[in-house]
Amino acid sequence: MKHSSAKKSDSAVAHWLQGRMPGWKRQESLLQSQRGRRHIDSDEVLEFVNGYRSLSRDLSLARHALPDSQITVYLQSLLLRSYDLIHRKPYNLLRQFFYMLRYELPQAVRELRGAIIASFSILAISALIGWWLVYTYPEMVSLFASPKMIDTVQKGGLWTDNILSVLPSSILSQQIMFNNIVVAMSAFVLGTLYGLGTLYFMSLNGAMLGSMFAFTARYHLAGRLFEFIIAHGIVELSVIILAGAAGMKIGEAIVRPGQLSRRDAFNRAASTAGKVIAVGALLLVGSGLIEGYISPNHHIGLATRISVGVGYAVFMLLLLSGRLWPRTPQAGESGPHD
Amino acid sequence: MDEHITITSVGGVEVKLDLVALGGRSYAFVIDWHIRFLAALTYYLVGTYFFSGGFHFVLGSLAKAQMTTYYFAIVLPAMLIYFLYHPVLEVTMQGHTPGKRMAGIRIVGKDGRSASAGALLLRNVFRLIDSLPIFYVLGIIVCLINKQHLRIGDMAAGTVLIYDEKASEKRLRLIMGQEISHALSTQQRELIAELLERWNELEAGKRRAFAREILVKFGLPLPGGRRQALDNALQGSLQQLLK
Repeated sequence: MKHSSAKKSDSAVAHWLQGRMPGWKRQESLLQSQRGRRHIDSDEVLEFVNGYRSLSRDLSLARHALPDSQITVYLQSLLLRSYDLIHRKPYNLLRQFFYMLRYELPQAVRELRGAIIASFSILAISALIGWWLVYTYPEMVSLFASPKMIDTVQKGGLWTDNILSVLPSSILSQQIMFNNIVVAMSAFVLGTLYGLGTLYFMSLNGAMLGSMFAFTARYHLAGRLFEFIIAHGIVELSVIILAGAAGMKIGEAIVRPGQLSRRDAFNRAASTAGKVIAVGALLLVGSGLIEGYISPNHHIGLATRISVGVGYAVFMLLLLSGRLWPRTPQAGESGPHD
Repeated sequence: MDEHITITSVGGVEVKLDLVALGGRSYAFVIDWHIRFLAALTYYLVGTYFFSGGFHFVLGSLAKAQMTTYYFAIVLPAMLIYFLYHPVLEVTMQGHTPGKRMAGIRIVGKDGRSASAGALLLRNVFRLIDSLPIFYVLGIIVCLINKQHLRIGDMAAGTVLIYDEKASEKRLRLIMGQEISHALSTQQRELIAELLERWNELEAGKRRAFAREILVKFGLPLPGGRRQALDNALQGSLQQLLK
Protein backbone atom coordinates (compact mmCIF):
# COMPACT_ATOMS: atom_id res chain seq x y z
CA MET A 1 0.00 0.00 0.00
CA LYS A 2 2.73 2.40 1.14
CA HIS A 3 4.90 1.52 -1.86
CA SER A 4 2.08 2.16 -4.30
CA SER A 5 1.25 5.58 -2.81
CA ALA A 6 4.94 6.59 -2.96
CA LYS A 7 5.03 5.56 -6.59
CA LYS A 8 1.89 7.58 -7.27
CA SER A 9 3.40 10.63 -5.62
CA ASP A 10 6.65 10.23 -7.64
CA SER A 11 4.64 9.98 -10.78
CA ALA A 12 2.73 13.14 -9.86
CA VAL A 13 6.00 15.00 -9.20
CA ALA A 14 7.42 13.79 -12.51
CA HIS A 15 4.26 14.92 -14.27
CA TRP A 16 4.45 18.32 -12.59
CA LEU A 17 8.13 18.70 -13.49
CA GLN A 18 7.40 17.90 -17.10
CA GLY A 19 4.72 20.58 -17.18
CA ARG A 20 6.79 23.29 -15.54
CA MET A 21 10.18 22.78 -17.18
CA PRO A 22 9.50 24.78 -20.36
CA GLY A 23 8.47 27.78 -18.22
CA TRP A 24 11.71 27.67 -16.22
CA LYS A 25 13.79 27.36 -19.35
CA ARG A 26 11.97 30.36 -20.82
CA GLN A 27 12.60 32.35 -17.62
CA GLU A 28 16.27 31.39 -17.81
CA SER A 29 16.55 32.55 -21.41
CA LEU A 30 14.73 35.83 -20.64
CA LEU A 31 17.10 36.35 -17.72
CA GLN A 32 20.12 35.82 -19.95
CA SER A 33 18.81 38.03 -22.74
CA GLN A 34 17.83 40.95 -20.49
CA ARG A 35 21.12 41.29 -18.64
CA GLY A 36 22.98 44.38 -19.78
CA ARG A 37 20.40 45.38 -22.39
CA ARG A 38 19.50 49.05 -22.61
CA HIS A 39 16.15 48.68 -24.33
CA ILE A 40 13.88 45.85 -23.34
CA ASP A 41 10.64 44.95 -25.02
CA SER A 42 7.72 45.65 -22.64
CA ASP A 43 6.01 42.33 -23.52
CA GLU A 44 9.19 40.49 -22.52
CA VAL A 45 9.33 42.43 -19.25
CA LEU A 46 5.74 41.47 -18.48
CA GLU A 47 6.44 37.86 -19.36
CA PHE A 48 9.52 37.92 -17.14
CA VAL A 49 7.61 39.35 -14.16
CA ASN A 50 4.82 36.78 -14.61
CA GLY A 51 7.46 34.05 -14.88
CA TYR A 52 8.95 35.30 -11.61
CA ARG A 53 5.56 34.94 -9.88
CA SER A 54 5.11 31.39 -11.23
CA LEU A 55 8.64 30.54 -10.16
CA SER A 56 7.86 31.62 -6.62
CA ARG A 57 4.89 29.21 -6.53
CA ASP A 58 6.95 26.41 -8.10
CA LEU A 59 9.70 26.85 -5.52
CA SER A 60 7.15 26.62 -2.74
CA LEU A 61 5.82 23.33 -4.19
CA ALA A 62 9.29 21.95 -4.89
CA ARG A 63 10.32 22.54 -1.28
CA HIS A 64 7.50 20.24 -0.16
CA ALA A 65 7.83 17.59 -2.87
CA LEU A 66 11.64 17.55 -3.36
CA PRO A 67 13.16 19.23 -0.29
CA ASP A 68 16.85 18.45 -0.87
CA SER A 69 16.71 18.10 -4.61
CA GLN A 70 18.93 19.83 -7.15
CA ILE A 71 15.71 21.02 -8.75
CA THR A 72 14.83 22.96 -5.59
CA VAL A 73 18.34 24.44 -5.52
CA TYR A 74 17.98 25.35 -9.20
CA LEU A 75 14.58 27.00 -8.67
CA GLN A 76 15.88 28.97 -5.68
CA SER A 77 18.84 30.18 -7.70
CA LEU A 78 16.63 31.14 -10.65
CA LEU A 79 14.20 32.94 -8.32
CA LEU A 80 17.03 34.90 -6.69
CA ARG A 81 18.47 35.93 -10.03
CA SER A 82 15.03 37.03 -11.23
CA TYR A 83 14.43 38.90 -7.94
CA ASP A 84 17.76 40.68 -8.33
CA LEU A 85 17.10 41.71 -11.92
CA ILE A 86 13.63 43.05 -11.06
CA HIS A 87 14.66 44.95 -7.93
CA ARG A 88 18.17 46.17 -8.63
CA LYS A 89 19.01 49.71 -9.69
CA PRO A 90 20.18 50.17 -13.28
CA TYR A 91 23.95 49.72 -13.55
CA ASN A 92 24.73 52.88 -15.49
CA LEU A 93 27.90 53.95 -13.74
CA LEU A 94 28.42 57.23 -15.60
CA ARG A 95 24.85 58.36 -14.99
CA GLN A 96 25.06 57.41 -11.31
CA PHE A 97 28.34 59.31 -11.01
CA PHE A 98 26.94 62.53 -12.50
CA TYR A 99 23.79 62.24 -10.40
CA MET A 100 26.00 61.91 -7.32
CA LEU A 101 28.07 64.97 -8.33
CA ARG A 102 25.03 67.09 -8.98
CA TYR A 103 22.62 66.18 -6.20
CA GLU A 104 24.13 63.91 -3.55
CA LEU A 105 27.53 65.57 -3.15
CA PRO A 106 26.25 69.07 -2.18
CA GLN A 107 23.85 67.39 0.28
CA ALA A 108 26.69 65.34 1.77
CA VAL A 109 28.88 68.46 2.10
CA ARG A 110 26.01 70.25 3.89
CA GLU A 111 25.69 67.30 6.30
CA LEU A 112 29.42 67.50 6.99
CA ARG A 113 29.44 71.25 7.62
CA GLY A 114 30.00 71.00 11.39
CA ALA A 115 32.69 68.35 10.97
CA ILE A 116 34.43 70.49 8.32
CA ILE A 117 34.63 73.42 10.74
CA ALA A 118 35.97 71.09 13.45
CA SER A 119 38.50 69.52 11.09
CA PHE A 120 39.71 72.93 9.89
CA SER A 121 40.00 74.16 13.48
CA ILE A 122 42.07 71.15 14.55
CA LEU A 123 44.40 71.56 11.57
CA ALA A 124 44.77 75.32 12.16
CA ILE A 125 45.36 75.01 15.91
CA SER A 126 47.90 72.20 15.38
CA ALA A 127 49.64 74.30 12.73
CA LEU A 128 49.89 77.23 15.15
CA ILE A 129 51.25 74.96 17.88
CA GLY A 130 53.75 73.42 15.45
CA TRP A 131 54.78 76.90 14.29
CA TRP A 132 55.24 78.20 17.85
CA LEU A 133 57.12 75.09 18.93
CA VAL A 134 59.68 75.14 16.11
CA TYR A 135 60.02 78.93 16.00
CA THR A 136 60.78 78.94 19.73
CA TYR A 137 62.81 75.71 19.86
CA PRO A 138 64.28 75.18 16.33
CA GLU A 139 65.87 71.85 17.27
CA MET A 140 62.32 70.45 17.61
CA VAL A 141 62.05 70.46 13.79
CA SER A 142 63.74 67.06 13.79
CA LEU A 143 60.39 65.68 15.03
CA PHE A 144 58.74 66.69 11.76
CA ALA A 145 61.42 66.76 9.05
CA SER A 146 64.12 64.41 7.84
CA PRO A 147 67.82 65.28 8.46
CA LYS A 148 68.25 65.80 4.69
CA MET A 149 65.43 68.37 4.55
CA ILE A 150 66.82 70.19 7.60
CA ASP A 151 70.29 70.26 6.09
CA THR A 152 68.99 71.67 2.77
CA VAL A 153 67.12 74.49 4.53
CA GLN A 154 70.14 75.30 6.71
CA LYS A 155 72.18 75.69 3.51
CA GLY A 156 69.66 78.22 2.20
CA GLY A 157 67.60 76.04 -0.15
CA LEU A 158 64.28 74.23 -0.19
CA TRP A 159 63.99 70.44 -0.50
CA THR A 160 61.71 71.08 -3.49
CA ASP A 161 64.29 73.13 -5.43
CA ASN A 162 65.84 70.35 -7.48
CA ILE A 163 62.96 67.94 -7.42
CA LEU A 164 62.63 67.92 -11.23
CA SER A 165 66.24 66.90 -11.67
CA VAL A 166 65.45 63.64 -9.90
CA LEU A 167 62.13 62.75 -11.54
CA PRO A 168 60.29 64.08 -14.61
CA SER A 169 57.05 66.03 -13.94
CA SER A 170 54.82 63.23 -15.22
CA ILE A 171 56.19 60.63 -12.80
CA LEU A 172 56.37 63.16 -9.99
CA SER A 173 52.70 64.11 -10.51
CA GLN A 174 51.56 60.52 -10.50
CA GLN A 175 53.50 59.67 -7.35
CA ILE A 176 52.26 62.78 -5.55
CA MET A 177 48.62 62.13 -6.46
CA PHE A 178 48.86 58.48 -5.39
CA ASN A 179 50.45 59.48 -2.08
CA ASN A 180 47.92 62.26 -1.42
CA ILE A 181 44.95 60.01 -2.22
CA VAL A 182 46.23 57.38 0.23
CA VAL A 183 46.76 60.11 2.86
CA ALA A 184 43.21 61.46 2.40
CA MET A 185 41.67 58.00 2.50
CA SER A 186 43.68 57.11 5.60
CA ALA A 187 42.42 60.24 7.38
CA PHE A 188 38.89 59.10 6.47
CA VAL A 189 39.04 55.42 7.42
CA LEU A 190 40.95 56.08 10.66
CA GLY A 191 37.73 57.70 11.88
CA THR A 192 36.55 54.14 12.49
CA LEU A 193 38.69 54.15 15.65
CA TYR A 194 36.03 56.28 17.39
CA GLY A 195 37.35 59.32 15.52
CA LEU A 196 40.64 59.22 17.43
CA GLY A 197 42.67 58.05 14.44
CA THR A 198 41.48 61.01 12.38
CA LEU A 199 42.08 63.41 15.25
CA TYR A 200 45.69 62.22 15.57
CA PHE A 201 46.19 62.34 11.80
CA MET A 202 44.88 65.90 11.43
CA SER A 203 46.87 67.16 14.44
CA LEU A 204 50.07 65.62 13.11
CA ASN A 205 49.58 67.08 9.62
CA GLY A 206 48.74 70.51 11.02
CA ALA A 207 51.80 70.46 13.30
CA MET A 208 54.03 69.43 10.37
CA LEU A 209 52.71 72.25 8.20
CA GLY A 210 53.20 74.88 10.92
CA SER A 211 56.61 73.60 11.91
CA MET A 212 57.94 73.62 8.35
CA PHE A 213 56.79 77.21 7.81
CA ALA A 214 58.38 78.23 11.13
CA PHE A 215 61.64 76.50 10.29
CA THR A 216 61.88 77.97 6.79
CA ALA A 217 60.95 81.40 8.21
CA ARG A 218 64.01 81.30 10.46
CA TYR A 219 66.12 81.03 7.27
CA HIS A 220 64.02 83.60 5.34
CA LEU A 221 62.66 80.89 3.05
CA ALA A 222 58.98 80.94 4.10
CA GLY A 223 58.12 83.15 1.12
CA ARG A 224 59.64 80.63 -1.28
CA LEU A 225 57.83 77.78 0.45
CA PHE A 226 54.57 79.72 0.10
CA GLU A 227 55.38 80.29 -3.60
CA PHE A 228 55.88 76.54 -4.07
CA ILE A 229 52.71 75.57 -2.23
CA ILE A 230 50.19 78.17 -3.38
CA ALA A 231 49.31 76.65 -6.79
CA HIS A 232 48.40 73.18 -5.53
CA GLY A 233 48.18 73.66 -1.77
CA ILE A 234 44.77 75.32 -1.39
CA VAL A 235 42.88 72.39 -2.88
CA GLU A 236 45.24 69.79 -1.43
CA LEU A 237 44.82 71.12 2.10
CA SER A 238 41.09 71.56 1.59
CA VAL A 239 40.75 67.91 0.59
CA ILE A 240 42.75 66.85 3.66
CA ILE A 241 40.36 68.95 5.77
CA LEU A 242 37.38 67.31 4.03
CA ALA A 243 38.88 63.86 4.62
CA GLY A 244 39.36 64.75 8.29
CA ALA A 245 35.73 65.89 8.45
CA ALA A 246 34.61 62.63 6.83
CA GLY A 247 36.63 60.64 9.38
CA MET A 248 35.15 62.64 12.26
CA LYS A 249 31.67 62.06 10.87
CA ILE A 250 32.07 58.28 11.01
CA GLY A 251 33.76 58.54 14.40
CA GLU A 252 30.82 60.55 15.71
CA ALA A 253 28.36 58.03 14.26
CA ILE A 254 30.06 55.25 16.22
CA VAL A 255 30.29 57.26 19.45
CA ARG A 256 26.80 58.81 19.20
CA PRO A 257 24.62 56.63 16.94
CA GLY A 258 21.37 58.31 18.07
CA GLN A 259 18.23 56.35 17.17
CA LEU A 260 20.10 53.95 14.90
CA SER A 261 22.18 50.93 15.82
CA ARG A 262 25.93 51.61 15.86
CA ARG A 263 26.41 49.57 12.69
CA ASP A 264 23.60 51.34 10.81
CA ALA A 265 24.82 54.77 11.93
CA PHE A 266 28.36 53.85 10.81
CA ASN A 267 27.05 52.59 7.45
CA ARG A 268 24.99 55.76 6.91
CA ALA A 269 27.83 58.12 7.87
CA ALA A 270 30.38 56.20 5.74
CA SER A 271 28.07 56.27 2.71
CA THR A 272 27.53 60.03 3.04
CA ALA A 273 31.17 60.84 3.74
CA GLY A 274 32.34 58.37 1.07
CA LYS A 275 30.86 60.59 -1.66
CA VAL A 276 32.95 63.53 -0.46
CA ILE A 277 36.06 61.34 -0.32
CA ALA A 278 35.49 60.05 -3.86
CA VAL A 279 35.31 63.60 -5.23
CA GLY A 280 38.23 64.63 -3.01
CA ALA A 281 40.34 61.87 -4.58
CA LEU A 282 39.51 63.23 -8.04
CA LEU A 283 40.43 66.76 -6.97
CA LEU A 284 43.77 65.41 -5.73
CA VAL A 285 44.49 64.15 -9.25
CA GLY A 286 44.33 67.79 -10.40
CA SER A 287 46.49 68.99 -7.48
CA GLY A 288 49.02 66.25 -8.24
CA LEU A 289 49.31 67.48 -11.83
CA ILE A 290 49.76 71.07 -10.66
CA GLU A 291 52.34 69.99 -8.07
CA GLY A 292 54.27 68.02 -10.67
CA TYR A 293 54.16 70.51 -13.55
CA ILE A 294 53.62 74.03 -12.12
CA SER A 295 54.81 74.20 -8.51
CA PRO A 296 58.45 73.07 -9.07
CA ASN A 297 58.84 75.05 -12.32
CA HIS A 298 60.99 78.10 -11.57
CA HIS A 299 59.95 79.84 -14.81
CA ILE A 300 56.37 80.27 -13.61
CA GLY A 301 55.78 83.53 -11.71
CA LEU A 302 53.92 84.07 -8.45
CA ALA A 303 50.91 85.75 -10.12
CA THR A 304 50.33 82.72 -12.35
CA ARG A 305 50.73 80.37 -9.39
CA ILE A 306 48.21 82.34 -7.32
CA SER A 307 45.79 82.43 -10.28
CA VAL A 308 46.04 78.65 -10.74
CA GLY A 309 45.66 77.98 -7.01
CA VAL A 310 42.72 80.32 -6.52
CA GLY A 311 41.07 79.28 -9.82
CA TYR A 312 41.25 75.59 -8.89
CA ALA A 313 39.94 76.37 -5.40
CA VAL A 314 36.96 78.25 -6.88
CA PHE A 315 36.25 75.27 -9.14
CA MET A 316 36.38 73.01 -6.07
CA LEU A 317 33.95 75.23 -4.14
CA LEU A 318 31.52 75.35 -7.07
CA LEU A 319 31.71 71.57 -7.43
CA LEU A 320 31.20 70.86 -3.74
CA SER A 321 28.32 73.30 -3.40
CA GLY A 322 26.57 72.00 -6.55
CA ARG A 323 26.71 75.46 -8.15
CA LEU A 324 28.76 74.14 -11.05
CA TRP A 325 25.56 72.81 -12.57
CA PRO A 326 22.35 74.59 -13.65
CA ARG A 327 20.02 74.97 -10.67
CA THR A 328 16.88 73.45 -12.13
CA PRO A 329 17.12 69.74 -13.01
CA GLN A 330 16.52 68.86 -16.63
CA ALA A 331 13.53 66.71 -17.49
CA GLY A 332 14.29 63.06 -16.93
CA GLU A 333 17.13 63.77 -14.52
CA SER A 334 15.22 63.46 -11.30
CA GLY A 335 17.28 60.43 -10.35
CA PRO A 336 19.85 57.98 -11.64
CA HIS A 337 17.37 55.19 -11.64
CA ASP A 338 14.64 56.45 -13.94
CA MET B 1 24.29 33.40 15.25
CA ASP B 2 22.79 35.24 12.23
CA GLU B 3 24.33 33.01 9.61
CA HIS B 4 21.87 33.91 6.90
CA ILE B 5 19.81 36.78 5.62
CA THR B 6 16.26 36.22 4.43
CA ILE B 7 14.63 37.84 1.45
CA THR B 8 10.91 37.57 0.82
CA SER B 9 9.94 37.21 -2.79
CA VAL B 10 6.52 37.78 -4.30
CA GLY B 11 3.84 35.54 -2.77
CA GLY B 12 5.66 35.53 0.58
CA VAL B 13 8.13 32.79 -0.38
CA GLU B 14 11.21 33.26 1.78
CA VAL B 15 14.67 32.52 0.50
CA LYS B 16 17.54 32.23 2.94
CA LEU B 17 20.97 33.36 1.81
CA ASP B 18 23.78 31.76 3.79
CA LEU B 19 26.45 34.20 4.93
CA VAL B 20 30.10 33.45 4.33
CA ALA B 21 32.31 33.11 7.40
CA LEU B 22 36.05 33.74 7.70
CA GLY B 23 37.04 30.46 5.99
CA GLY B 24 35.15 31.18 2.75
CA ARG B 25 36.36 34.78 2.69
CA SER B 26 39.98 33.77 3.22
CA TYR B 27 39.77 31.06 0.56
CA ALA B 28 38.53 33.55 -2.05
CA PHE B 29 41.04 36.20 -0.94
CA VAL B 30 43.99 33.85 -1.23
CA ILE B 31 42.96 32.86 -4.78
CA ASP B 32 42.47 36.52 -5.74
CA TRP B 33 45.76 37.53 -4.15
CA HIS B 34 47.63 34.94 -6.21
CA ILE B 35 45.87 36.00 -9.41
CA ARG B 36 46.57 39.71 -8.95
CA PHE B 37 50.12 39.18 -7.73
CA LEU B 38 51.00 36.84 -10.59
CA ALA B 39 49.24 39.02 -13.18
CA ALA B 40 51.07 42.16 -11.99
CA LEU B 41 54.42 40.35 -11.75
CA THR B 42 54.03 38.73 -15.17
CA TYR B 43 53.12 42.06 -16.77
CA TYR B 44 56.09 43.74 -15.10
CA LEU B 45 58.63 41.05 -16.01
CA VAL B 46 57.44 40.56 -19.60
CA GLY B 47 57.20 44.35 -20.09
CA THR B 48 60.67 44.91 -18.68
CA TYR B 49 62.08 42.11 -20.82
CA PHE B 50 60.65 43.57 -24.03
CA PHE B 51 61.53 47.15 -23.08
CA SER B 52 65.15 46.48 -22.25
CA GLY B 53 65.89 43.16 -23.94
CA GLY B 54 66.62 41.55 -20.58
CA PHE B 55 66.03 41.84 -16.85
CA HIS B 56 69.04 44.05 -16.07
CA PHE B 57 67.00 47.25 -16.10
CA VAL B 58 66.30 49.60 -13.16
CA LEU B 59 64.23 52.78 -13.23
CA GLY B 60 66.90 55.07 -11.79
CA SER B 61 69.52 54.26 -14.44
CA LEU B 62 67.40 55.51 -17.37
CA ALA B 63 67.46 58.83 -19.18
CA LYS B 64 64.40 61.01 -18.42
CA ALA B 65 62.50 60.33 -21.65
CA GLN B 66 63.06 56.59 -21.39
CA MET B 67 62.23 56.66 -17.70
CA THR B 68 58.82 58.23 -18.40
CA THR B 69 57.96 55.70 -21.10
CA TYR B 70 59.12 52.78 -18.95
CA TYR B 71 57.26 54.06 -15.89
CA PHE B 72 53.93 54.68 -17.62
CA ALA B 73 54.04 51.63 -19.91
CA ILE B 74 55.40 49.05 -17.48
CA VAL B 75 55.63 50.07 -13.81
CA LEU B 76 52.35 51.95 -13.42
CA PRO B 77 50.09 49.39 -15.17
CA ALA B 78 51.63 46.60 -13.03
CA MET B 79 50.86 48.64 -9.89
CA LEU B 80 47.33 49.34 -11.09
CA ILE B 81 46.70 45.63 -11.76
CA TYR B 82 47.73 44.86 -8.18
CA PHE B 83 46.00 47.72 -6.37
CA LEU B 84 42.83 48.14 -8.45
CA TYR B 85 42.10 44.42 -8.93
CA HIS B 86 39.42 44.23 -6.24
CA PRO B 87 37.57 47.54 -6.79
CA VAL B 88 37.52 47.29 -10.58
CA LEU B 89 36.54 43.61 -10.79
CA GLU B 90 33.97 43.78 -8.01
CA VAL B 91 32.21 46.67 -9.78
CA THR B 92 32.42 45.25 -13.31
CA MET B 93 31.61 41.65 -12.27
CA GLN B 94 28.80 42.85 -9.99
CA GLY B 95 30.00 41.55 -6.66
CA HIS B 96 32.23 38.78 -7.95
CA THR B 97 35.95 38.42 -8.52
CA PRO B 98 37.57 35.34 -10.07
CA GLY B 99 38.47 34.12 -6.55
CA LYS B 100 34.97 34.69 -5.22
CA ARG B 101 33.51 32.91 -8.23
CA MET B 102 35.77 29.91 -7.61
CA ALA B 103 34.81 29.92 -3.92
CA GLY B 104 31.12 30.19 -4.91
CA ILE B 105 30.55 33.42 -3.02
CA ARG B 106 29.30 36.89 -3.93
CA ILE B 107 28.99 40.38 -2.42
CA VAL B 108 25.42 41.68 -2.11
CA GLY B 109 23.69 44.47 -0.22
CA LYS B 110 22.12 43.83 3.21
CA ASP B 111 18.77 43.37 1.45
CA GLY B 112 20.14 40.56 -0.73
CA ARG B 113 20.16 42.64 -3.92
CA SER B 114 23.23 43.43 -6.01
CA ALA B 115 25.46 45.91 -4.18
CA SER B 116 25.78 49.39 -5.73
CA ALA B 117 29.04 50.51 -7.35
CA GLY B 118 29.47 53.11 -4.58
CA ALA B 119 29.14 50.45 -1.87
CA LEU B 120 31.63 48.17 -3.63
CA LEU B 121 34.17 50.99 -3.91
CA LEU B 122 33.62 52.05 -0.30
CA ARG B 123 34.25 48.53 1.09
CA ASN B 124 37.55 48.56 -0.78
CA VAL B 125 38.64 51.93 0.65
CA PHE B 126 38.22 50.42 4.12
CA ARG B 127 40.80 47.74 3.29
CA LEU B 128 43.24 50.42 4.50
CA ILE B 129 42.01 49.87 8.06
CA ASP B 130 41.01 46.20 7.78
CA SER B 131 44.56 45.34 6.76
CA LEU B 132 46.11 46.97 9.86
CA PRO B 133 48.57 46.38 11.41
CA ILE B 134 49.62 43.62 8.96
CA PHE B 135 47.98 40.76 7.03
CA TYR B 136 44.38 41.89 7.70
CA VAL B 137 44.69 41.17 11.43
CA LEU B 138 42.10 43.81 12.39
CA GLY B 139 39.69 42.68 9.66
CA ILE B 140 40.04 39.04 10.78
CA ILE B 141 39.39 39.91 14.43
CA VAL B 142 36.32 42.00 13.56
CA CYS B 143 35.08 39.23 11.25
CA LEU B 144 35.42 36.66 14.05
CA ILE B 145 33.59 38.66 16.69
CA ASN B 146 30.49 39.83 14.82
CA LYS B 147 27.48 37.67 14.14
CA GLN B 148 27.38 38.22 10.37
CA HIS B 149 31.13 37.66 9.87
CA LEU B 150 31.64 41.12 8.37
CA ARG B 151 34.90 43.03 8.11
CA ILE B 152 34.91 46.80 8.79
CA GLY B 153 34.65 47.56 5.05
CA ASP B 154 31.43 45.56 4.77
CA MET B 155 29.92 47.32 7.78
CA ALA B 156 30.80 50.71 6.27
CA ALA B 157 29.38 49.85 2.86
CA GLY B 158 26.35 47.87 4.06
CA THR B 159 27.39 44.74 2.18
CA VAL B 160 27.49 41.04 3.08
CA LEU B 161 29.12 38.01 1.48
CA ILE B 162 26.75 35.18 0.61
CA TYR B 163 27.12 31.71 -0.86
CA ASP B 164 26.06 31.93 -4.48
CA GLU B 165 24.44 28.51 -4.53
CA LYS B 166 23.78 27.16 -7.99
CA ALA B 167 22.61 23.74 -9.06
CA SER B 168 25.23 21.87 -11.04
CA GLU B 169 24.29 22.65 -14.62
CA LYS B 170 25.54 19.34 -15.94
CA ARG B 171 23.54 17.33 -13.41
CA LEU B 172 20.50 19.49 -13.95
CA ARG B 173 20.68 18.89 -17.69
CA LEU B 174 20.68 15.15 -17.00
CA ILE B 175 17.67 15.47 -14.70
CA MET B 176 15.73 18.00 -16.72
CA GLY B 177 17.06 17.77 -20.22
CA GLN B 178 15.21 14.60 -21.24
CA GLU B 179 11.77 13.19 -20.82
CA ILE B 180 11.05 12.16 -17.27
CA SER B 181 10.95 8.41 -17.01
CA HIS B 182 8.10 7.12 -14.91
CA ALA B 183 10.22 4.12 -13.96
CA LEU B 184 12.61 6.29 -11.91
CA SER B 185 11.81 8.65 -9.09
CA THR B 186 13.35 12.12 -9.13
CA GLN B 187 15.68 11.13 -6.25
CA GLN B 188 16.84 8.06 -8.17
CA ARG B 189 17.48 10.13 -11.30
CA GLU B 190 19.48 12.60 -9.22
CA LEU B 191 21.54 9.80 -7.70
CA ILE B 192 22.40 8.35 -11.11
CA ALA B 193 23.09 11.80 -12.53
CA GLU B 194 25.45 12.58 -9.64
CA LEU B 195 27.28 9.29 -10.11
CA LEU B 196 27.72 9.99 -13.83
CA GLU B 197 28.85 13.55 -13.18
CA ARG B 198 31.50 12.42 -10.69
CA TRP B 199 32.41 9.29 -12.68
CA ASN B 200 35.97 10.33 -13.48
CA GLU B 201 36.66 11.67 -9.97
CA LEU B 202 35.73 8.36 -8.28
CA GLU B 203 38.11 5.48 -7.86
CA ALA B 204 37.44 2.86 -10.61
CA GLY B 205 36.55 -0.02 -8.25
CA LYS B 206 34.09 2.08 -6.27
CA ARG B 207 32.28 3.54 -9.26
CA ARG B 208 31.87 0.10 -10.83
CA ALA B 209 30.44 -1.23 -7.55
CA PHE B 210 27.96 1.67 -7.33
CA ALA B 211 26.94 1.21 -10.96
CA ARG B 212 26.44 -2.58 -10.52
CA GLU B 213 24.32 -1.97 -7.42
CA ILE B 214 22.05 0.44 -9.29
CA LEU B 215 21.66 -1.84 -12.32
CA VAL B 216 20.88 -4.84 -10.08
CA LYS B 217 18.27 -2.77 -8.19
CA PHE B 218 16.46 -2.06 -11.47
CA GLY B 219 16.82 -5.65 -12.65
CA LEU B 220 18.94 -4.71 -15.64
CA PRO B 221 21.59 -7.02 -17.12
CA LEU B 222 25.15 -6.46 -15.92
CA PRO B 223 27.59 -5.88 -18.79
CA GLY B 224 30.70 -8.04 -19.11
CA GLY B 225 34.28 -7.20 -20.14
CA ARG B 226 37.52 -6.29 -18.45
CA ARG B 227 38.69 -3.02 -16.89
CA GLN B 228 38.21 -0.11 -19.33
CA ALA B 229 35.67 -1.95 -21.45
CA LEU B 230 33.63 -2.85 -18.34
CA ASP B 231 33.94 0.70 -17.06
CA ASN B 232 32.63 2.13 -20.35
CA ALA B 233 29.85 -0.44 -20.53
CA LEU B 234 28.65 0.34 -16.98
CA GLN B 235 28.72 4.07 -17.69
CA GLY B 236 26.79 3.48 -20.93
CA SER B 237 24.16 1.38 -19.12
CA LEU B 238 23.61 4.15 -16.56
CA GLN B 239 23.28 6.76 -19.29
CA GLN B 240 20.80 4.47 -21.04
CA LEU B 241 18.84 4.14 -17.81
CA LEU B 242 18.41 7.92 -17.59
CA LYS B 243 17.13 8.03 -21.14
